[in-house]
Amino acid sequence: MLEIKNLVKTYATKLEKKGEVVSSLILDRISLRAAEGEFVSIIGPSGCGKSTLFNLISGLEVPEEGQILLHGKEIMGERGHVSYMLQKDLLLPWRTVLDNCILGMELQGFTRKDCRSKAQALLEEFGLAAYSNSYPYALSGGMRQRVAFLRTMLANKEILLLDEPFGSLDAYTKSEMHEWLMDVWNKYRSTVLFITHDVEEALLLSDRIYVLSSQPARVQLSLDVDLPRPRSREMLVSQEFNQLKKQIFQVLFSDKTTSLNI
Amino acid sequence: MPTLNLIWIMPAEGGIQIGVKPQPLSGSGFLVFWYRSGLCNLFFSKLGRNYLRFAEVRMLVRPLRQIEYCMRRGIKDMKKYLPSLGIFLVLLFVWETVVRCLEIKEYILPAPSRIGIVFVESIPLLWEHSLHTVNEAILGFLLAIIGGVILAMLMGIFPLIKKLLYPLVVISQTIPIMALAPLLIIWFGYNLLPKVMVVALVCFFPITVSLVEGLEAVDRDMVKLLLAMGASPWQIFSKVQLPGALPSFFSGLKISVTYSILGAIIGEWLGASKGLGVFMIRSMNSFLTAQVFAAIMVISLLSLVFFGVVVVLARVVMPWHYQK
Repeated sequence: MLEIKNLVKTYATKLEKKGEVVSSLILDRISLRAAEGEFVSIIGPSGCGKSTLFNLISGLEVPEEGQILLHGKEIMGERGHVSYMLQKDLLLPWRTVLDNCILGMELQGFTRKDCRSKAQALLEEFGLAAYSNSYPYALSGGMRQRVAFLRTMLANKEILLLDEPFGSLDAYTKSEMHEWLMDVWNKYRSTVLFITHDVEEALLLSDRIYVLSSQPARVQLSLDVDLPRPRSREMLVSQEFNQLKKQIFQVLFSDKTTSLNI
Repeated sequence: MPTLNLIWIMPAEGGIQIGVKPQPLSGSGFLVFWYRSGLCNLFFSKLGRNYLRFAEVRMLVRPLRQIEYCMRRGIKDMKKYLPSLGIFLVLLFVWETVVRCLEIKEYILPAPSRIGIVFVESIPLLWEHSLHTVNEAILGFLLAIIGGVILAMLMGIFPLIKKLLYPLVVISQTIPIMALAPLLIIWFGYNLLPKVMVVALVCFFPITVSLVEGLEAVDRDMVKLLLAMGASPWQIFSKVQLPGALPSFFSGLKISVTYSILGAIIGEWLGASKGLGVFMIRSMNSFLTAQVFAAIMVISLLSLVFFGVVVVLARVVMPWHYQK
């Protein structure tokens, strides 16, 4: 159970000409929570501070105010509780797919042999066994993201932070990835925080969606998505789906400065 | 490249492994065949071992594959180099005719044919001197690698050390080696050491600079990712920075290895009793110009061979870098 209460973060920027220091508010009392095994999405306009939020949760930065609680315990500024995935796959070119997958486990001091057998099983389960000895350059963008996701999962952390992981994929590959991701997630039910600016993607994957405003980011809407699982692509045109979509759009576009990529 | 389909059936963990893989008809293919067919067990069981692990065979197969690849590509590339080879031959021909027609004295400019004859005649002598030069070059080059890698790693890990030493490293390269070499001989005598040091001084700069830049070119997001997962600074260095710096490091090695023979020659010029440099000086002093040219040929050849070794090494160490 991850709970975030009233997070405030400001950045100090130095103006080049005058030498003045201006502090700008990035996160304005953000509160959100993710129960064990929940898939939570965060939608917001680009540059609204979503990635800053992830940096705070992963302990790379420290907020000015607020609390980050994992199972009721403060984890502010502590690293190693989460595992991260970005739009860039960040696979190591000198490691095979298999060895890339075990990176997170290796950091915790497991022997390579143990890690490999565990990763091999997972690769087989999710249709990547044929690639396990290839190097990343031989893989397509979608395949690389799959490997990156398995690496994130194999790191065996309580929370997975996914920062626009499918942002650079084409629409077709993306929807394939959604199905694949749901397949994996349904089996392992890790707690996932998912940043995106694709509303349909968020609705299709999440249990709950938080909509943030543009800078400074505030939580504008917290929406529970109770569409039945497993969800399929046909759902994209169903009435309940469009109802929820409308609700999100209303909030997003009430904010005039929004530049949304739909 | 002709290939042969190799089919093998062998006991494996929990069953039988059946594999089909085309193997090239060459050394590496033969090695795989030798292992897969079980012939290797005949030999190795005598040494008190029942079987050889594939991992051990693969350690041999991989470098062999790379050498074969380089050779095959070299032969393929020959066609590309045919025109330049043609021009080279034309130049040799012009040289030959000019020397003959103008009856230029041999001590001023020997004809290519004469150089060839002298080269063959002095092969035993050249061989003996080359051994010394190669010895100095290899020792100096290894010293440069050890020193350069340690220095670069320290500079990569501790920014303060980089701030302190990097300018000095650059300045060290502005000192003309021809001025420094006599000093080294005054300090360390006429033995092997000053020559090795000249080689090391010439070679360490490209190695250090390329490794430092490789270490610094690490992807910030990758570091962030590892930090979030709780990695220690040492883990980030050894798992991301160091392997990521390899391509850059090998470019530095390629540059410096071509300097190594040159450095040894310079060291020898300033005082030695054996070596190609000495051979050149002696030939020059006795106006045996053809022998000077023969020595130059050997120097070029040696530098090329050294370069080739580094190229093959790079391919063996970083197959992922070359398969792109």
